[in-house]
Amino acid sequence: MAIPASTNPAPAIGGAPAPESDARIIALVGNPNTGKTTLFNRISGLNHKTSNFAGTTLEARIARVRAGIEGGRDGDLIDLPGVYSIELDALESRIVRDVLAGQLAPRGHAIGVPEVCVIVVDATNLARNLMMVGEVIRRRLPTLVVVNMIDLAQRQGLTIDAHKLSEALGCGVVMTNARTGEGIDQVRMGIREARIPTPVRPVPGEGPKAAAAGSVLGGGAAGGSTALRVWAEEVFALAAAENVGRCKKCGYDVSTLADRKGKCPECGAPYARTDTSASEATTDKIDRVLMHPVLGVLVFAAVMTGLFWSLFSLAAYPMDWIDGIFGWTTGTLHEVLPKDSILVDLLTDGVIAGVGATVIFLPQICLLFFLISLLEDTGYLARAALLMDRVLRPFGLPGHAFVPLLSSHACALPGIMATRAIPDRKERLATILVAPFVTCSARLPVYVLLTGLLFAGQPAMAALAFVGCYALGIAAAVFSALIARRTILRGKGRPMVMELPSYKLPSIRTALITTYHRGWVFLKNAGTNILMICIALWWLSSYPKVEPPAEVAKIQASATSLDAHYSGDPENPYPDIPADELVKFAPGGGISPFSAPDELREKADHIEARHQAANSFAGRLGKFIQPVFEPLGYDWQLSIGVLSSFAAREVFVSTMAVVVAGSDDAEDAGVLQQVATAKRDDGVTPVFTRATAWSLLIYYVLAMQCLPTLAVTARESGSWKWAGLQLVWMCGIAYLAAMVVFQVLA
Amino acid sequence: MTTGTLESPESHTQASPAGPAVALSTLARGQRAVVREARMPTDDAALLRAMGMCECALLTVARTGEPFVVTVTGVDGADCKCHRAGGCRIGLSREMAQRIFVSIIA
Repeated sequence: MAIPASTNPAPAIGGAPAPESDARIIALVGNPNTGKTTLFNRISGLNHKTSNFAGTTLEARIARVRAGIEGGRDGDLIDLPGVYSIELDALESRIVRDVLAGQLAPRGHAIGVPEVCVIVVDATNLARNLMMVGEVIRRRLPTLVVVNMIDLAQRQGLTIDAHKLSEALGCGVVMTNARTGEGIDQVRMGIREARIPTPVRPVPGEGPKAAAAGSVLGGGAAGGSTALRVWAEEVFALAAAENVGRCKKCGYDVSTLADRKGKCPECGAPYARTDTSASEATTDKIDRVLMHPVLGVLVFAAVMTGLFWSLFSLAAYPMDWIDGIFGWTTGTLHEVLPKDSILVDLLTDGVIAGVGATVIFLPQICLLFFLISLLEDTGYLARAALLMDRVLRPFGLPGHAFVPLLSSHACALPGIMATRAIPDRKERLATILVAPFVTCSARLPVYVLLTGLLFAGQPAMAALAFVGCYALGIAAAVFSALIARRTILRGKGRPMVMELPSYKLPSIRTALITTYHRGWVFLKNAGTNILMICIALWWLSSYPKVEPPAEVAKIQASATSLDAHYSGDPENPYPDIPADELVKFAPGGGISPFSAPDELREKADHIEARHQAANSFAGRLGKFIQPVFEPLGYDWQLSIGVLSSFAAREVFVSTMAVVVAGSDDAEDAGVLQQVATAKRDDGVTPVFTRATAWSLLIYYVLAMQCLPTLAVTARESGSWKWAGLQLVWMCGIAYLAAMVVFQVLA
Repeated sequence: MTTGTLESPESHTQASPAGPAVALSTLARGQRAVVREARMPTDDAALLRAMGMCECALLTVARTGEPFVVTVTGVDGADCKCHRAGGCRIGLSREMAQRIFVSIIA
């Protein structure tokens, strides 16, 4: 239902610079928890792009809105951050203010005053939301008010008269239920017909002078002046309050009476107030469980267990499929392209091995964001954050840090980006600094390898060690936060205050769109930054090309000689060659003369790859830097593994497979066996002793080995100084802890 | 530390007093009260005001302890034009609740 404004002066925006593109700028604003994002998703579907506001790290989502009429102009709908007031002294509020004033635009967009401002308001909390409507109206922009969640309002017995509200505000009003899509077409129509509002009661502070000032009330009155509040209450009274909280017989105000049912003190007539009490009672009951000191924690533990179980069990299937696709692609390239060409090496060992090792985590990341989006939509996540405030506060972190730390279990990149919700800068910085300590998906292959080596044939113990790694990561994060908040980020944190949204069924559509969006960002990163890193690592590991050792030629010659005699029977591979004759074919080096020719060739390839790795730039660097890792028990081979995985942890496993076993198939059980039994240069000492494996495990739990994370830390904190500190702190702690573990166990 | 108030500087309308101001954190579950004053930094007070916990906002305590939860159900007093229905639920740290002073009405 679109209610156009009764008055319609032309939208003259004096002095505003016109946008370069022909598309109109349409600003989408609103309080948090009003369903603004759901509405945006409804309008845009999957068809939107992401940018950020120039000079800030805040994300802006932009969707093209078609004109829908002949001669009309398309518009760019910009989803602005949800704020309680555009006059607050907070980054999000400043951004909304600046965009509405035509002083800021998302990167890549021409700066200009929006031609339409769409304000989303919560029908169940209309009076408060109208204060923000007033703040926007006094900027004299063509405006459309979208009253969302009308279904919830109706369920609570609230009746809002759209015609009266439109008359009171002097602009178009549309009633929607963004969750079901009700009213979305009317929003599109309303955007086309938006006009500068002419409210029946002038908004306090309205006028060109005030609008030009940007922040009308200044900091002291930010967040809703009394005059604005009274104006909002008056508008609310005109549009929605006729029968709410009033005695139906005499109109006496019964809203403040303690009882929902009773006799009116003024006229004695029975009243049954149609207010939010019933809904509140249900919310109270649920909250009593979810926020109970004991029950709440148990529910929280159950929810988190379910979430992580889903991540590691359900995501395993698509991860296997992706792994299969990359494996098939590698095999096909080897078959199709000329053997031993640089192009094959680059594509298979550089691009596919590197990018594949990252993209394989896409299902886990998508599933995590899907589940987080569902939880957020139900209203539970805000409660969980509030509950966690009590746990995190002693370590100097706010409850707001809970969601970023949770997201970091999939990948630190979205986790760090999620810290934008933390209002206090020092608390936000502390969360950014410690988030990468939390075990992310990229560490899992390393954990699998090392716990498998440490507890071969003891799955229960391996699982326990796995859980211990997670616990150590969380402990390192909170204690590092404590140290940071007591030293470089000293200061009293802001006490927690958070709106707790109504409980509701989550929107699968919204969760899917969020998942698609986040997954796409992750893929773009894998296709750009990580791809470049992988190519660089491939080059360092593959060059300079060195001649294979003489041993390789000898083994290959043996294989060729034996081809004609091979029977295919593993028990008796060469029946026509007497055993004493067969020994002459043995290539030496401990290789059995009874090996099949293909096995011999495989061994030759392994030896060649290992020789190449040892003499490559990365290998030389590994030998050069090995003394640094000597106290941790690492030889040059492990040093290469640690070095090569500096850019991305998961590279460690494939590097070790190449360096130690001469194969890049880290999932091959034979290769893992070779890794487990690999020897140092002396040919006697194992590469992976118990002490070395524990030391490596501790190192990988704690070390900062992810270049993209450092880049995001620098971007989100606004300085490379913080990224540098994060690198030094995490690697320093990891080095010391790994050294202590090795020295004690060795 | 600059302290803020839940009342904006441009107007000084007062809620109808219903008793002495006490810290919100001292209220029991189910008690109703009217917000009178917030003793906290200006930014925090402004945020609370924007969230609906303005001067003379009508609150009902939904949960005590840590965290403290209130429902903002309306605005009290003739000066404040009590028309509101609907509202929101706000969770606060106990520390924040200790800095908000209210008059108990029921």
